[in-house]
Amino acid sequence: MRFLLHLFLASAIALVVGLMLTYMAVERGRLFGVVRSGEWSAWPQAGRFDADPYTRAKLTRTGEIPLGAGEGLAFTTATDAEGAPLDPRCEYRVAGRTPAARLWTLTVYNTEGQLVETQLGRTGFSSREVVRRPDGSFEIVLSPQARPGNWIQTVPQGRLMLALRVYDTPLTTGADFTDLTLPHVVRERCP
Amino acid sequence: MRRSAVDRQRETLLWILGGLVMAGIVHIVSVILLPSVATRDTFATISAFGPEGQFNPVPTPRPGSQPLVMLDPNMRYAVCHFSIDEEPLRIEIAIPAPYWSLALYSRGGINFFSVNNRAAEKRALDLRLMTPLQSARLKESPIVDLDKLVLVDAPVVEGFALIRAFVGQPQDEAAIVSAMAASGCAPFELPERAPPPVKTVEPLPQPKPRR
Repeated sequence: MRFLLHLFLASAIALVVGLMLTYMAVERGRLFGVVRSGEWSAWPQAGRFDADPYTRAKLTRTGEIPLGAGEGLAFTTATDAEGAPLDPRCEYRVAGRTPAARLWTLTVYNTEGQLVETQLGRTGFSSREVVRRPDGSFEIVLSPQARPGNWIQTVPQGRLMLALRVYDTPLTTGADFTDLTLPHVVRERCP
Repeated sequence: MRRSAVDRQRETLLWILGGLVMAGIVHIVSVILLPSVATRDTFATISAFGPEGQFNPVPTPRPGSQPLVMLDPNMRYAVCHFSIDEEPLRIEIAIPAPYWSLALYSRGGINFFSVNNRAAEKRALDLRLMTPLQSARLKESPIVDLDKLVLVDAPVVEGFALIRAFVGQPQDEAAIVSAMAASGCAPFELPERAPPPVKTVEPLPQPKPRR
């Protein structure tokens, strides 16, 4: 009887702890190979065939088709520069510069990775269409109300996630990640 | 004989430790097995876009209708699923877009090759995707001009190729999309194996007939 109790206890620990670790690693965070810079995180491992098993598990789980190393790199964030979740009722300013790249795009998703329907149909900006300051930096405003300049309309529902994709960048071909230049997501005002 | 309470505690502790070790094994096995039990089948979705042997356009990602997860709405996509089990694959791309790229993935969506239009350094890309065996056969053929080709040894026999193309100006979109659909993604025939070199057998020196 005592033996059976012990066996049950050990099996329960093995299953619960083991599967919980897997859930935490795969579903919640990208524990391995993630590059963080400020509020942004990128995942250069995802574009490699020798990616670790966690990366493989995560990729097949989400169904996401990652950018290959020869194509570029995607940075995502679900928080502002202070670490607070992105609330579509608030106004945010995404300002600064991007890493060296031939092309970049900034896209607004919800936290499930889906594009959100807006009245104007704009879901983001690309480096070809964004209006820059004289020094070459840019500023994009996310707000439910119309704003002058580079404006993306947000719809007050759920939470937001931003993806900054840099295409054809030296970052994926050996340049180091220590001096990343990325724009900051700053909360301006909330209702 | 009754065992002491300390012994009993120690025994339970050992069982807990054993459980934790097993937890590590459960974790490793589940991470490795997860891809094979994944609920989303990207490959099935991709195969549904059209037949094998050509690039099939992926519907433009828009709010409410996203053919695949986390696509860039600034890009136009075309996908070709392939199997190089029997014949190698030839991919030819020439797209009048400011940026385009090609990426090759295994069935499970793991990337094994990618190139963009600047790295290709030419207006057109001519790529041959082969198993190591097919690759060896192509390289031993003297007929093929290998310098003009991008040769890729595939680590898998089944997978898909994805073209991403950036549309800078809306008026260019029609030309870009039709160039994507016209891109080649079809099996090609390996050159015939060169005939084995004819063995020339030196005649044995005949002993001179005695006079």
